[in-house]
Amino acid sequence: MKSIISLLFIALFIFPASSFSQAAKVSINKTSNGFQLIKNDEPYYIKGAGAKSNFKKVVESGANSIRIWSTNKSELLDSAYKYNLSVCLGIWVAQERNGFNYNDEYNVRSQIELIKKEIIRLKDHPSVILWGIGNEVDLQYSNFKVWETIEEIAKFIKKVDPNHPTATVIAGLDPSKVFMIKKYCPSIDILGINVYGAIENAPLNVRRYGWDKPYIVTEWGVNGPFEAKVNSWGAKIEPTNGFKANQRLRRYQRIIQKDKELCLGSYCFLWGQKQESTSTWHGMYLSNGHPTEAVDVMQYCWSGLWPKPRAPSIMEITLNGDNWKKNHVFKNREKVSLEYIYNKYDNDSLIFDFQLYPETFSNKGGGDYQESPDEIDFDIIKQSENNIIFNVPSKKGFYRIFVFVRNEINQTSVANIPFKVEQL
Amino acid sequence: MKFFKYFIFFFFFASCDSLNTLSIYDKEEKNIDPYEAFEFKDIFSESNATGIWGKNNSCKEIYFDTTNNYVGKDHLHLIWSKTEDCKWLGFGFKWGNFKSKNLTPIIDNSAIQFRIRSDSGEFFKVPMLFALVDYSEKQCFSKMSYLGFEDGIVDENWRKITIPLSTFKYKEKGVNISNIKELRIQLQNKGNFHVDDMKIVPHHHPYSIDSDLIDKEFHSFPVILGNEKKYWWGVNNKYSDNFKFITNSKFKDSISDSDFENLLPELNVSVSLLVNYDITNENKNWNLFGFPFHKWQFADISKIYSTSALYFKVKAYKAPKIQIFMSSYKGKPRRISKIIKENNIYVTNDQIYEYYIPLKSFVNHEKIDWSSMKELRFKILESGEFEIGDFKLIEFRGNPQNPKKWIKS
Repeated sequence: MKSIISLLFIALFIFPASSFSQAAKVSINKTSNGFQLIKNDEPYYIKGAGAKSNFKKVVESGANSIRIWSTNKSELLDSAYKYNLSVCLGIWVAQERNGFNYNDEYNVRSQIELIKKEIIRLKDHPSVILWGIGNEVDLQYSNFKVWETIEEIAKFIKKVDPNHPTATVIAGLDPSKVFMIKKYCPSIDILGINVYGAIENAPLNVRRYGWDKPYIVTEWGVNGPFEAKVNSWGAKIEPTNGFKANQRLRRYQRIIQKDKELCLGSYCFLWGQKQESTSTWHGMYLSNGHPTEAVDVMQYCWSGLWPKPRAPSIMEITLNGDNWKKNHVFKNREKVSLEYIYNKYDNDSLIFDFQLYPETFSNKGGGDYQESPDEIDFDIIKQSENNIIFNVPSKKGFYRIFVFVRNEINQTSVANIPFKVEQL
Repeated sequence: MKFFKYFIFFFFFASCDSLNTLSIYDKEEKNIDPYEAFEFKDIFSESNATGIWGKNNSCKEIYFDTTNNYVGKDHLHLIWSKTEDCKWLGFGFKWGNFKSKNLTPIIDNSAIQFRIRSDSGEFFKVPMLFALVDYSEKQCFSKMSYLGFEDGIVDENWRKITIPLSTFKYKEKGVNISNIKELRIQLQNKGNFHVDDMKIVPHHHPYSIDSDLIDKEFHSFPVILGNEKKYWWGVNNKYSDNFKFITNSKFKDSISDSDFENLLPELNVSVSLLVNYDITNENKNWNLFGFPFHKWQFADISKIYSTSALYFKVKAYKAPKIQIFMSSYKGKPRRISKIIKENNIYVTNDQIYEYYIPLKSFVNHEKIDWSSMKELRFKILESGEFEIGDFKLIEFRGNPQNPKKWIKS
């Protein structure tokens, strides 16, 4: 008997989750109050994050689900299962804006057949909660045939996988997209909406545009670089972490949570790090792996409790006393004062770090890959609790200076401000 | 002498006729099979016959493996793992010893075909990108599409892969397909595969490339707008009664409800809307409605826009303040807007207001792509109760800033 127990114990570690667990049975229930996601006979409200890593922290923060964008890294399903997280499993559908031609039948059929294989392969994984068919295939598109592909995939899922609902994820709401999906994709159960600044009107627009099935906010967070104010040389103004934290909290509580009728939950963006105009815009983690205060905010949203300790929070950043509203232009090697106002919260001591980068001026959209710039060395002449005096570079050009403040367990807040250097 | 003249005449005719009948050059060209005529069919069969270039580094190892070949004395074994240290990972074939290759005659009926196997595991896709490179170093790409997996899988057995040459997007990339230097393979992510017997083969598949969707092009007036209810948005009486479709329009004869639902698309009339808007009401945000120019497809009004005005009627005690937006699917900007002014409105009898908004009176009208128009939307800017309808584009040749003058004239 002891040996059988030992064997079972070993088997638990050797075999992946999918080989001994059943697929979750997920459905959508329509009540007089609206829609509800039902997982294994229990109501299931999605408290989720768009994440490929830090799953342990997702769970500790009170979330129950992650969203991934493709089936390429299906090992993430096992990781999610380990932490009892459900997964909105993305099916990558090629985007017209990246060169895919939906008039080319050979490529269209090839894509669909390959996707069908992937669906068969992964449909019974116990962590899958729903399928996310395509991500922003509508962004800068002009060939509406893409909806035929989305429908064919959704229809196939309906045929082979009765356990999981289908969603397609669009880049912002628009009446034409809602019309197309209603008309051409009847097998889609849920509308996935990636929405940043426009989240403010998302629940209203869903109804205005006539979407009458449920929706999930599949990406949300702070306003994106594509919505940002720019200064006179086109540098995008990134809000401070403190501003972003407040914005996230308000959007979750007053917009997402409030729509009990049609909204089945949400996935915050991005539980990780990526370069998108800057290295800190959307990422809730830094490139060195440190969590930002956005992680704390999501813990509060999901669990109602702030972590202890809590990250400090930079509320404002200025150069020589002026914020981003002024175009900061300096002579080369000029001495400049960088000031930052922050909340210390319950932290006894804080660590400051300052980094300088060239401006990137990326005009890429839709989360497409952007290269990170290399850090530039610079001289800090004097440092105090709320400011540094530094020399701007000698080379003329466009720059962005970052201030990072973190506590002893590396919970961090960050802010940056662009400036220009001219020759003497 | 006379006989000689006839002889010469006959000779010329006979000669011409003979030449025409023979047409030796034409006939010979017709008999040549472009594939058979293509000299460089072999891309890789073994290291002795065809070589490769591309040095090994920390991210990739490519070598000639002599065990378990598909053909010849060896094959290629490719092992790679892309990291940040290696921005480009790949190699090239010394195909035809880099001689210029004209793929034009075979581009639509030939393919690159090869064998591939793994050491272990089953794969439905392999992260390799194939590039045809011309002599100006321009490249066009294709990949191992799933339809080209003859057995639907790559595993430990030699499997046949076919990549139709027509899938290389040479036109888009500006590659001179009649002057190809080489074939390169770009390695992505990571992989461990064996490749052998790469060659050009005849290939036909039943799939076509459709032409672009035909836009709806408008040439004449009037263009009736918003006449199909199913394309409208902003009217949802489950949430707001600010806007209601009405069947007994003041502009048209009464239509029964069933007719309205079923027959309206066939009737040449616009939908009419009853607006009851209170800016202090909790539903104040339900102040927008809209409809497409043409069934949410591309509407091309580029030929008529400069002589067009948007026209609609309002039945009210007071002309309401409205903002109009027009948007396109393409171009920049994608949206233009205008707040209606007093000189856009012509009052007729019986409290009917006719609105004339020349398209050229919109700011940035010259920048928007009139060939890809999407929708019209209307924003109600102040409280009021009125009926609005009969939307259309009409011909307008007056001063865009003063349409009233043109209407009166």
